Amino acid sequence: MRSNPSIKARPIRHAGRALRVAADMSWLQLTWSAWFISFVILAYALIEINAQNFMTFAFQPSKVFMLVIGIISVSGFLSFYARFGVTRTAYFCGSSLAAATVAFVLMGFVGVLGSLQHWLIPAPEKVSFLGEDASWLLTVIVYFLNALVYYLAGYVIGAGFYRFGKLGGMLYIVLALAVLFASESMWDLELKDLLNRVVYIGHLPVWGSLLGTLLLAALTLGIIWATLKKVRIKIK
Amino acid sequence: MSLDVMLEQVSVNFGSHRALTDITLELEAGKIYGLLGRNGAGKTTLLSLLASYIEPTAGQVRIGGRNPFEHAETMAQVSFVFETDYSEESEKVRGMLQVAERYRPHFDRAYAEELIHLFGLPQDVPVKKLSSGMQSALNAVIGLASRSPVTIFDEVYRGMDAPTREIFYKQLLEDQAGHPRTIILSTHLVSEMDYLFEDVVILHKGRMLLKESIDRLLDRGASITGTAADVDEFVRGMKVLNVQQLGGTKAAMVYGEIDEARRRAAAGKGLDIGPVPLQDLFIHLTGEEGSHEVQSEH
Repeated sequence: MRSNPSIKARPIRHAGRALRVAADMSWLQLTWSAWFISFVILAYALIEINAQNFMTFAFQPSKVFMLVIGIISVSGFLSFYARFGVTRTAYFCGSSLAAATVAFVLMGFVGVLGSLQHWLIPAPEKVSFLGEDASWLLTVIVYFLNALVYYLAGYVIGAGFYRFGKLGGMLYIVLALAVLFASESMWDLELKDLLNRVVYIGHLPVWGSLLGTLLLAALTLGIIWATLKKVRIKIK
Repeated sequence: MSLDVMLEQVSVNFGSHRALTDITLELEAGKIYGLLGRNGAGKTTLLSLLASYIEPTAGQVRIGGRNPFEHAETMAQVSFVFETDYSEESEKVRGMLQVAERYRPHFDRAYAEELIHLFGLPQDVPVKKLSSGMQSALNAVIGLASRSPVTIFDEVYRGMDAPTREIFYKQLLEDQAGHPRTIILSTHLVSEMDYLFEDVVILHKGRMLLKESIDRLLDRGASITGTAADVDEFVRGMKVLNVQQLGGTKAAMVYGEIDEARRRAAAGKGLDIGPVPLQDLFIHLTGEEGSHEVQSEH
């Protein structure tokens, strides 16, 4: 190959590419998040403003939103980036970083809005599963981790369907449900009640739940990576 | 940087289906290759290997001496352009060029803009709203302007109309002259594209049939024209691909090299020896009979 005048001399490595993918995917998913949160604010203002704090109100729909964007993160982006010569490794690291960024910004924004509401106008107290006296920072961190786990559960489903098609994908839905059950039971959330009918799970201290959720997130990421690292890229 | 492409005894299985069998092939950097084969011959599978979309079941793929699979530098240097399903792509043309510029190390934005203008592509329209011909043209623009050392066009021209294809071929040749790279054109449109190829690779039923320079390949076929009786006598014992007769004049296409002595004999009888189009040779070579007789040359 003769020299090409337009060549950019910097070596190409997974890390650099992953950061670019992370920045691009975060930006796009944050634009979606902006639309999403606008609708949540609108719904809150119309129906729930006197009933509960914004933060408590926004938590549920945010989890569902994260699950959905997690599901489409593989089919929507893996083939796309492969067409531009991006490796699976760079895509995986980039999209995982983007997941954390989106979860953090979204829940951070919800937290800031909730606390502004708390200080500026008389509003109902936030009542979360952490109790009424939990700090705003801790609440945001816990909401962030929960949002991240929902994204990762979606990501598991997306990866399963991409690699194994419909039948294998169904098994990954079961896997994703297991991840969500595990996470919710650590935080005394809705799914725990369901699980408690089968196995009784005691109450965990906050640090235990934090650590447990981080381990769960790492395990889930490991499963996604094992599914994607040699996946056949679809020509479509 | 030399990015020669090497495949050594490569086989690919999809479940119990064997898509490629024992492919050994070397593509020297800087040439335009035509990759021909009938439907299901394994062309896209072969190209998917080069783009690291799949891994071989057996054998080795090397680009620039390295295994390209998950190699960040090598994968960034290989462009695999195919008919993309853009039915859900809400990104605009401008946005697609920006992505190409971010991820393709040799991408030339100015050249891309020039091509966009030549193909008459609107920049601010979401890609999913473009006609299929326009989408093909966008793929061609990204493929050409990326100037990747290994650039693969897999049937991207199908959606384009004839004038658009002409622009594409012309641009391909012009840009290749200024920025030589390895270009692989996989196609069914053999008769229209043969002048672009320097070397031809033919796959048949998942196996390598041949790899040769276009000149040598074309030397293997000849069209003999003259009086019917003389032509019949001359081609006796040769592999005849096709015969056309108009009155007493007959033209026979034959497969097989004609040496100098035979050429002189033909001239003595007033027979005219001309070339056979690549398309006809391709049809013959990949027809049910004869497809196994060719020795590939490396």
